[in-house]
Amino acid sequence: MSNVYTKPSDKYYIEKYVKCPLCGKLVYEDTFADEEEGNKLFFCSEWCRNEYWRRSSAPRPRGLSSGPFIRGRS
Amino acid sequence: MEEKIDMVTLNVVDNQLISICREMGYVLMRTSYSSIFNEGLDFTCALATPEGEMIAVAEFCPAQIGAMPVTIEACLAEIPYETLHPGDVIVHNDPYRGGCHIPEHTVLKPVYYGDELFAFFVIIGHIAEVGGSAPGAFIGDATEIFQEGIRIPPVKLVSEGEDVLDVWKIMLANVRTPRFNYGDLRALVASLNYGEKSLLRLLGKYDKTTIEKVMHEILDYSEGWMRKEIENMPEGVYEFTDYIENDGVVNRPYKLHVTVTIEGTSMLVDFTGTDKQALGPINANYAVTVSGTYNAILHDTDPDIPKNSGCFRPIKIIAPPGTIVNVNYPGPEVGGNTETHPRICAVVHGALSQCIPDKTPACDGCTAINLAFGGIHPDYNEAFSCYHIEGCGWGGRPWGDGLTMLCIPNGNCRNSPVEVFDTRYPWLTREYKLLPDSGGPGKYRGGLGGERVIEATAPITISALGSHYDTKPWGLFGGRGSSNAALHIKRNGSQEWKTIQEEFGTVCNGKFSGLHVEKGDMIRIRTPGGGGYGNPRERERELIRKDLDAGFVTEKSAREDYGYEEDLL
Repeated sequence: MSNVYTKPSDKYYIEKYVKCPLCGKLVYEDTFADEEEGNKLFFCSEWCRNEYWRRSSAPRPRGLSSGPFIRGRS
Repeated sequence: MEEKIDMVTLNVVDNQLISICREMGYVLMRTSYSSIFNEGLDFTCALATPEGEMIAVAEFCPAQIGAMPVTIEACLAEIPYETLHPGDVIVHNDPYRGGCHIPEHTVLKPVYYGDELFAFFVIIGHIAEVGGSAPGAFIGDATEIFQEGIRIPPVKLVSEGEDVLDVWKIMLANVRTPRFNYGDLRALVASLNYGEKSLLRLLGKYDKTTIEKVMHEILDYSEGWMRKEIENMPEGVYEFTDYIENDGVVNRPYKLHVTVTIEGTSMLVDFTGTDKQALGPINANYAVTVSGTYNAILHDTDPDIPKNSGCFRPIKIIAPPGTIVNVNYPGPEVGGNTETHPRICAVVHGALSQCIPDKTPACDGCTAINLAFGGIHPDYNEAFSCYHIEGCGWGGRPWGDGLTMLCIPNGNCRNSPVEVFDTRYPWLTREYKLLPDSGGPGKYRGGLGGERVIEATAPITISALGSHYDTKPWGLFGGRGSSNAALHIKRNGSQEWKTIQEEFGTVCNGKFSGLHVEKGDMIRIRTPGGGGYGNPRERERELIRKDLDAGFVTEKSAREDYGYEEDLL
């Protein structure tokens, strides 16, 4: 498992607080991860992942669908 | 298909769960030591599912309601379920792990029914003294989180019914008032214990399955109600911008921008376009921004919607990292929860005013002034530390005047009675009054701000974190802005009132820390009114007459702002 996202239960301290690059929520799991220019991006939800790439001028990763307007909890 | 619970049982049990949360608040009020707890009621008590969804909440401090689910999630991410046991209490105040700001301490207790984790009771409460560079936590010119106090990550304060002494010792060694902090923490634990006992009693009255069903169905019920409210709003994209005048470190304005999109039964609230995070402590974090947004929406929708995680489901919030609505570590952020939270509410109201003008108010005073102070009390020879808040005027509403001298909408806190204030702390209150003409003129006038003059009866260290000193709360639809905030000092023996900036050379008048006042010095606090709603020339003449009789507006304002030409004698 990646050790860069905010998952501190097995650590003495948090080295980096990782936030969803779109909505800014803390990210505890690497369920929705992509790469942009060599940097890992950890999204909090599929919706944020889709919306991030929709707004970005960078090439959209393969396999992304445009989801519903809003889904799940914010 | 599983049978749904009937509506009567759903509401009866839900209200009993809410009552338990309210009673927990009364336990806190009666057992805590600090005046911000037992007078200000700056806390919120809630019940959550084992998954962390908030089910029931007592409406003490709205700033904490919307943040509650974020904070619970952070606690549960750090304390694995398998390490939880009956009798545990988790404590947490880290703003970088879901907390609101350092003074807001979250305590969380798992409740077991038999061997099964059934629910969590959660309280967020404001502990006045948290260490940091000056008493009372509100370091108005902080540049890093470390100056604002000690951060406690989610850790067990009580383990299987036994105090985790090492944690208590570390927490109490890092504050100026360990006896008061001990009392407040003990009150928080007692309140959780009360909640646990009450819920177990309720589980003896209703069967477990019924209460579990209520806990889950009430979330869907609230979600459905909120979706209906949103569906009734005209679809569209609505934007609003406001400015925070400075950050206490740099004297320049910061832009707060929001775009609200209504589509179907969902709402997207996007703060993209907001300025990058400030050097000083006006930054909000994600939990605060989420809470501020929910707070505004709860004001603008049906007040009867049960407040729980369900009603937040249709709302998505984007708070870009590294901005004043989502500060990155280790930026300072104590003012985000008190000063920027109401501004977040205000800009959301501002955006929604274009969509539901019949439901949204004008801008409120948007500041609690936040005077924090401490020292050694000469009567008791003991350290004191106080977080003192003042009321302000609220914005005029589509159906009536704004409320007068009430704590900002995120606080909903009570003010401290003069008698309590003067007894607990070495101040003597010389004046406490409403300020005429402080409410923004409007068809519906903004609520009035007020003035308090206090005299130090011993040396005291003061800090402050307020806003609207240089800008005015705005009006809506022709309503006008209100009066500003102000803070002045008159030194013992002097006849001259000076601004804090003039006397101490601070960056601004409303944000500073660690200044010393001596016995006999006086502080004068003026709080802003609320903005007006609608054209003041359309105000009913009878209401102007009443305002004149009550002294809420002067004859000059009646003539010039409201066009009141009748005999003023």
